[in-house]
Amino acid sequence: MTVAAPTVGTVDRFTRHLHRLTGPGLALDAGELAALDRADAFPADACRALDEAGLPRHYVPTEHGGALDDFGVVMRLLRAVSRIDLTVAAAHGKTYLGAVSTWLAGAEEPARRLARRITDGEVVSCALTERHHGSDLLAGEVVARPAADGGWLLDGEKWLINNATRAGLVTVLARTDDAGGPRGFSLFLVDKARLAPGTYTCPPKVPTYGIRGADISGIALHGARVPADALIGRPGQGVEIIVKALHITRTCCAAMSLGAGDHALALAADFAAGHPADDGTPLARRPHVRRELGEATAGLLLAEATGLVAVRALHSLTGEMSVLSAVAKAYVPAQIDALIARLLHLLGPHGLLGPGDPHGQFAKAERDHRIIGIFDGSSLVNRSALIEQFPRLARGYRKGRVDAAGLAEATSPHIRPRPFAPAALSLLSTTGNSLLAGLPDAVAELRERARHRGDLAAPAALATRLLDATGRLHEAMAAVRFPPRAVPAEAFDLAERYELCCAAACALHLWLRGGPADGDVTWLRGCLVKALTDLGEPVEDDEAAVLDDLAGLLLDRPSGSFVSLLDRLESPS
Amino acid sequence: MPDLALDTLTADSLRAWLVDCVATHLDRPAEAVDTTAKLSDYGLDSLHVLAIAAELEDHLDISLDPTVMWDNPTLDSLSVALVRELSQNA
Repeated sequence: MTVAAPTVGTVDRFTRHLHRLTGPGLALDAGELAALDRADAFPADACRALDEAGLPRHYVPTEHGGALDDFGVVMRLLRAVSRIDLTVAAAHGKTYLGAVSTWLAGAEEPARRLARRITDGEVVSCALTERHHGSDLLAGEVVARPAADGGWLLDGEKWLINNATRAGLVTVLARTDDAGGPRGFSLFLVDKARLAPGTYTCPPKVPTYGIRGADISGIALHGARVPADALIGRPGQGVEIIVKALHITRTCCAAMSLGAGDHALALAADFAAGHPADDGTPLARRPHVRRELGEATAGLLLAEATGLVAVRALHSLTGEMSVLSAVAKAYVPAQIDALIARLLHLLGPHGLLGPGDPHGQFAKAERDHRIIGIFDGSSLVNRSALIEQFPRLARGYRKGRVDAAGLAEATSPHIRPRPFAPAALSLLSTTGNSLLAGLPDAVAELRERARHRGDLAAPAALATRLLDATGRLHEAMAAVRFPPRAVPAEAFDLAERYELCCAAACALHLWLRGGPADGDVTWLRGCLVKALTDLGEPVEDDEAAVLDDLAGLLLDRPSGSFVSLLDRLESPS
Repeated sequence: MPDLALDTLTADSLRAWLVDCVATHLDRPAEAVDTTAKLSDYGLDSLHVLAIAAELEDHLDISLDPTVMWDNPTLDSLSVALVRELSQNA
């Protein structure tokens, strides 16, 4: 067992460095970033500062000369950036999505070349979507035809692509078989500097609701010739590679949501603590404000538990990522959107968006985060992916299929994860979902521990109700039958409930494995209360009171810090 | 559905099982499933096709590389490829 101390050192150093750059007139100054946002201008200085801080090395696996050997680290680095500015995080982090297909394809020489470009500061984009087809990748019309001299000729337009204009390299998904289908597409790493003049153009940046400064544009290819070695993997492998790549990037997107959630929650808490109500006492002392802040904290911790376990699962439950990436990408952004909306509803009338927030940071976080739920596959796309897997998930749960070693590792944050094995990624999970199939044992363990520790009786009762709801849910999932392309609406409700059960299971597994045996159980109780409430399961008033204690965690935290499970899990037991 | 066992598996018995499975997914009679047609022609998209692989895995208690469904788009080619793969793994 290795304690991941170097991990903590890397993240802490980076976080402190970012904090120093938030000073007046510096690259991450909130006032400067707000001004850029108002002008729809790209935060170039901020991105350059992240380059100088060495962030690009964390997009490159160690075997190719970079620093990436633990997705948990890159997640925490991007979360730290997202706490400051989501436009910057989305713009900078996109290079990983641009590069990941090359890492997955596995050929050494192209990977080494790309690694050098990235560590030298090159921006890499990834162009999947098209103007008329959105997320329907198999409908793509950009084509690549073999050129006479062995290369390829690319034609067509990719649109709504983050960094398409700024990037020097763009990974492009193109049709290589007129008949299309899952084997009809291939990926190309297009080096703009090597394209003949006039063979590509970038349509103008699209004005967006959030991340206004981001370069959301496109690339149009006009008989653009690329060399034979631009092909990533083999012809026809494009969809397979990109679906697996999305298992990684959708999971890592949780970092951006969690950072935005941290930021919004801290702004709201500071506002509520410092802003007096009509009677002169701070808003935070009002019972309903305190309860809402506590519920928001519980929501954030549930989302964090989900993101934390999912990102570790990339290493140890790799073959289950078709499920866990969809859960993480559907649930975490939706949970953070809901959290921000409720805080706004609660504190907006008291002036949260007014002079209490001089740089408009809360409003910006709200706008920016709305985009996270859409890109890299929307919640609807991810819920569809879950629904397609319902029969297999229901069977796996019924049969109790658990990868016990993988589950234990995914839920033990203080253990260094095993090396990531790309070959273990699978289009469909072969084992189902160990997090939920392992829930009955986890609940049994909590109940057993409760026999010797009085304060575990309450969470054990909540966990038992969660297990009951999870069992009923899987019966309903098994009963869903539908013809192709006619998913019934109730299946989406089941998918949402599935995400909630997973989130709560993540929290329980983490509490059992990740912290000391005598660790404080307040946060787990809060997470279970929040999950059961959102599931529509009964929760007693005295059980819900734990949310007020969670509000205490938020309001009493040291100035400038954030509430995080990591502080409660990674201290040596 | 016809019974299917790993030790007596042939391309014919597997094809018959797959026809029934696809017919169930499409909610149409087995006679209306053409084993020479691409599954995508029935509107079965890539993930839905993989769900059929999952049912077969569950039925035989085996693990398949789901891309075998993509590389063999008709039930005829799929049943031949699956029997070949399963005999190699046996």
